[in-house]
Order: sequence, then C-alpha cells, then structure tokens
Amino acid sequence: MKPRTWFTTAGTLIAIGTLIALVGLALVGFDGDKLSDLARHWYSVVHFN
Amino acid sequence: MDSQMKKGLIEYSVLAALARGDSYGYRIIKDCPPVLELTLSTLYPILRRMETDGRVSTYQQTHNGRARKYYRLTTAGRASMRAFVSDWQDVETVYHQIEAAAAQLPELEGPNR
Amino acid sequence: MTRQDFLLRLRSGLAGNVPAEEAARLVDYYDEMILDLMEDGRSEADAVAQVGDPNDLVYAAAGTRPLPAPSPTSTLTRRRWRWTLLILGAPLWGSLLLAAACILLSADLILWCVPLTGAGVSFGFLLGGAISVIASPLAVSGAWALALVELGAGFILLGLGMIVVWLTVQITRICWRGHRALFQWGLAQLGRSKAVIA
Repeated sequence: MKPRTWFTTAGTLIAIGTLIALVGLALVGFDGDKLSDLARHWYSVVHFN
Repeated sequence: MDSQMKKGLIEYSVLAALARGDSYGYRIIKDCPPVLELTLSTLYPILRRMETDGRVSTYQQTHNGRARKYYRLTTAGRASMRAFVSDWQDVETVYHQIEAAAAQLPELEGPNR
Repeated sequence: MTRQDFLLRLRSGLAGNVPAEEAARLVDYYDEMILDLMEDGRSEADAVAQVGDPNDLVYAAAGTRPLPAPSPTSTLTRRRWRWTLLILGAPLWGSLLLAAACILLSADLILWCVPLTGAGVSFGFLLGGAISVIASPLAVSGAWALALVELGAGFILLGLGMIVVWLTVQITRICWRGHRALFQWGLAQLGRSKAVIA
C-alpha cells in the first residue's frame, strides 16, 4: 500500500491506542497495584501460563 | 593549452632546446617553455622517438663521477625544425580563419541564424 | 623511498614487460634524473618523489612498447615455472586470499545486522501488539478498565510496529545496494591485473 496510507494507519492506531489506554488508566485511577496485576496477566499470556 | 596542440609542439620545442647546444634530459625540461607542461616521464618517449628516427644522436659523458647521456641535434633534426618553422605560415592561415569566426560569434547567436 | 629502492622497484617492474635494453635505458634515464634533481638541491626523498611512482612508470613504459613475442619453448618453461611457484606459494597466497574473503564476509554480515535488528524489533512490536489487543478482553476479571489499558497499549504497539516495519524496509533496501556494491567490488578486485614489483 502507499506509504501515506501506511503511515496514516500507524498514526491512527497509535492515537486511538493512547486515547483508550489513557481512559483505562484514568478509570483505574492510575493505581500502581492494579497495573502490576495487568503486567502479570500480560506476562502469563505471553508465556502461555 | 589544448593537449592535442601540445603534442604537436613538444618535440619541436625539445629540438629547439638542443639547437643552442648539446644538452641532457633534466636541462631540456628546464629549457622548454613551462606552458608545454613537459614532465620527466613525457620527455622520455619523445627523446627515444627522435633518437630512433635520427633527428637526435646521443653520447655519454662523465659528470661528477657519473655517466650522463647527452643529446645532440643531427642534420635531420635541424631540417625538421626548419620544416616546422616554414609550416607555420599554414598554421597561421588556419588560426586567422578561427580567429575571424570567433570574433563574429555574438552575431551568429541571434534568433535567425 | 630511497634512490636504490626506487631503482630496484623500477628494474623489477620493467623486467618481462619491456626488452632488457629498453629497461636498462629507462633505469639509467630516471637514475640520471634523480641525481640531477638532487644536484639541484633537493633531498633524495624529494627527488625520488618528484620522479614518480615506479608502478606508474612501469605502466607508462609497458603501455607504449609492444611486448616481444615469446618464443615457443620459453613459454612452456615459463608456464611450468608459473604453475610450480603458484602451487608452492599456495600456503601464502591461499591464506591471504582466505583472510581477505573472511574480512569481506564479516563486512557483509555487519551490514545485514542492521535490517535484521529492525526486523526483530518490528516483529516484537507487532506480535506484542496483537497479543495485547486479543488478550485484553481476557484481562483481569472485573477490572475492565485495565482491559482498556491493555487494548490501548496493544494499538500503540501495533502502530509503532508498523512504523518500524517501514523503517526496516527502507534500511533493507539501502543494505541490499551496499551488499551488491561490496560484492561487485570484491569480484572486480579478482579480475583486475596487478603490477608485480619485486
């Protein structure tokens, strides 16, 4: 695909992703514990635990 | 100077350097006009060629305890120089043709050439 | 370079490329020039430098003279000698050739490390992003807000991954051209004839 389309898609993904992540973080209240839970979950998914 | 023109002139310049008297390689280079850009390596084949076609003869002489090769103008060499000088009239004719054409150039570059 | 050095190199470079008497004439000519330059006040090193590189002089001399036609018998003995020396010298030139090839190969590998790294990074980003997006619904039960964070992070990773992919493609193109140039240069070195001095 054209470079322009490529970059637009990438940029959109990053923008939307940042937005969603920030919303989620706000709802969580920027809680460190909950975030480490998330990290542990992600870790286990990646390592197929 | 255009390299083609240089090629035409160099050997006669070398002959002229020898006309004043026998000489050796290094001095010949110093005697020839610098505009010809004669170098050590370009002089060698010229001297060789002139020795082969008989315009120049060589002999050895000791100088400061080492042997030095001297070059001498032969009759053929002298004749060659004279031929060059007389040919110069023809060269001048062509030169004048070129000079006249070059002087007219600005007019020739007009729109209706 | 000293005068003796110069004369030695000139003599050995001319040998086989010009007839013996021509070689002697050339050596005498340049020797005379060097000594004249020194008499004129230059140092030995300067005089030799001004005369030029023996290699260049050999090329100039060989270029303007036709090579003498080799006699049939001498060609055979010469060829036999060449093969003998080639085989005897194999440990020397063989190891040098091997070393040169290894250096060339190393250069090539180093060249490719860059796009490889790029590929690795983009793969990691894209995979991580994909996993993050897909796994987000399964996130910590109840804390769906965290699922959002995971989803968002996933998108970010995917986007970044796409950018790194594009960068890797560009770098790969450049590396490919560099690789081709290196390869062609290497082959050209093999093909070029070289002057053998001493």
